Amino acid sequence: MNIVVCMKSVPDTTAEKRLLPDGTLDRASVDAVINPWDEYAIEEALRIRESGAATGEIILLCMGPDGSSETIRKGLAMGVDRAVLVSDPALHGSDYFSTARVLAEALRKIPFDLAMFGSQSTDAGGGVVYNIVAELLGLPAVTWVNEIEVTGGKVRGKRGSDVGYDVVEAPLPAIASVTQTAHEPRYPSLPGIMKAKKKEIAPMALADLGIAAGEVGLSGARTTVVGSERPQSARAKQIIKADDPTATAVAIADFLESKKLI
Amino acid sequence: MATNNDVWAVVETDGSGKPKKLGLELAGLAASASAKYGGTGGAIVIGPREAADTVAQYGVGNVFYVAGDSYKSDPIGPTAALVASLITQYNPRLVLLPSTPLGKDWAGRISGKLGLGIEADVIELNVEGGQATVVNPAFNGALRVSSRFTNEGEQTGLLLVRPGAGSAQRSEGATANIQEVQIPANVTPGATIVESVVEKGGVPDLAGAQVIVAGGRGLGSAEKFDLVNELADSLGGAVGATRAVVDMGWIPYAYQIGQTGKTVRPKLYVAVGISGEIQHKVGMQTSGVVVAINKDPNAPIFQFSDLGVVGDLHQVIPALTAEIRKRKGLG
Ligand SMILES: Cc1cc2nc3c(=O)[nH]c(=O)nc-3n(C[C@H](O)[C@H](O)[C@H](O)COP(=O)(O)OP(=O)(O)OC[C@H]3O[C@@H](n4cnc5c(N)ncnc54)[C@H](O)[C@@H]3O)c2cc1C
Ligand SMILES: Nc1ncnc2c1ncn2[C@@H]1O[C@H](COP(=O)(O)O)[C@@H](O)[C@H]1O
Repeated sequence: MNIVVCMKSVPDTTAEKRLLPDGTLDRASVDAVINPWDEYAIEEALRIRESGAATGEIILLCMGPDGSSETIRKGLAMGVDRAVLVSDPALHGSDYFSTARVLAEALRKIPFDLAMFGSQSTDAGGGVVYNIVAELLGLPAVTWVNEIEVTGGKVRGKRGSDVGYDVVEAPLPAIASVTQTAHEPRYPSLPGIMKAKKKEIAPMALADLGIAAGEVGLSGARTTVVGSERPQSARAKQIIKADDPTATAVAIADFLESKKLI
Repeated sequence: MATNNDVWAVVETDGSGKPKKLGLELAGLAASASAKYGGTGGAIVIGPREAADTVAQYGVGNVFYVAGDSYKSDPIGPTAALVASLITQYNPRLVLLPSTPLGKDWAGRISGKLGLGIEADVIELNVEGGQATVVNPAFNGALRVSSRFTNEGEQTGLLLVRPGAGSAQRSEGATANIQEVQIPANVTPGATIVESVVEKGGVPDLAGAQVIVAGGRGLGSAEKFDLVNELADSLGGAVGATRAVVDMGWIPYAYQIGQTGKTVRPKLYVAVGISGEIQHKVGMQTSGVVVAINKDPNAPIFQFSDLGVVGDLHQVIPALTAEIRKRKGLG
């Protein structure tokens, strides 16, 4: 049983972001990391194999600029076997549907039983890509799970509900998306990093997927950015020192009343 | 194929079959946005007739509802197929869905079936001159991005709308055509719920909360979360937490606010013993008023607080809870 993990390379949260004039992110200006949610997907994929529930390969699938291979190496160093990078200048500015379509077409070329995703990406992510992929491939999907296991030809997980949680399951082959789980993504070991350097990152272009350039990227996008601004953080930053608890409590309550919050 | 001038809302119902508050906000927003296009608006209620009657009071002209249980054991596939088939049949201009995990599952499935564009995490919807412009926070709120559908009016656009973008206002004397619809045959199965577990103590409604009191490692121990619970209680708010305390097992993951937890936008956010690291900040920075209590005057949280209180939370929080209870006449 093979597991594919779809991984997005995203700008580090701690970095300043700016948009290019065409409304897309200036990716060259910031350090890229594995989307933190996808790191959990990688960790859970490795654990599924370590548990004996999967014996085949674990493959990373990423759509992004050529520079994404640096981020992919981090995933390979965690213990993933190989990667596929779909990279094509025509993909720049792709919307959710186009991104999902590319991933779905690439998944048709990689035999898998389970395709795992993060539940959201930390850049402009909407948490929608994996459901589009699932629908395009006609597959079931367990989504937004914070625990995941594979047993008896099924993938099963725990998903938060209004009153607690639901145990959800789907027969394989299936799609799964994970949130933060209890398993902190492992740090690559030194041998892991060395081995990753020799692992394959197979390139794929649009032509390999039978998708025409005009259907994806900025020209094929169904949504377009028309402006952006930094939210003015006009916070007052007023500071009081809590010398006497009662007086401090009165001061805070006065403040809340002045803002009509109590 | 050109769309009509209607904006629709997809309204989720709760365990007792009542429309969820976010659903009513969406119905109100669908009604007011439709009016700007010259349409009458509509709603698809994923629930029984009684829920449709309630939604009809929020100003939309047409309300569809689903009788029976066919959408319950798999909450994703059947509902997505239903909404997709109604879109194909009626061609609404825009469809508003809740920006929740389930709403995102639906939107993805519908987009996958019909090739539609999605605007996710919408916090504002403005219709002017027959064109919708939406505002969404990008990079976890570091930027406010305005965007549009490139083919509005030709192809239905899907919007995932966050709480607070619309208001759940009943409109006087509203009437609607109410119609029962059936789950279509061409359902792609989503996932099956094999067990539903009720957690005692419940689950916080962080996305919809007007007031959130969040606790961090500064509390010192799991027991001290009571300080946060009591303050939240006095303010009528929900409880949230940082990842540090979730990792230590003081509180479940459902309470986590931040990059890999929930994104919240209450009117008041009180941070208790929280340092304010970037991964926490991105989940709460678009809150209304931020009040922080921290003993370290150099804590980063003070850089994005309206009121910063430098002091020991174990002293300040009980006194504050007592003061608020007193002012609210709660004794
Ligand atoms: C990929 C990734 C994702 C992450 N996602 C999230 C996320 O979703 N949410 C999140 O919150 N974090 C997240 N983090 C973790 C984040 O970086 C911080 O580690 C975390 O937010 C710190 O939590 P804290 O403020 O409770 O603890 P600390 O940073 O330890 O801060 C505790 C604070 O309490 C104060 N304090 C101590 N005692 C008292 C007292 N008696 N009275 C008053 N104040 C006191 C201290 O001065 C200190 O400022 C993530 C990190 C990574 C790497
Ligand atoms: N360009 C991409 N390449 C590979 N996987 C992606 C890409 N974009 C999104 N994904 C996957 O889809 C998930 C949800 O992304 P999103 O819908 O953009 O929030 C991510 O956590 C990834 O697992």
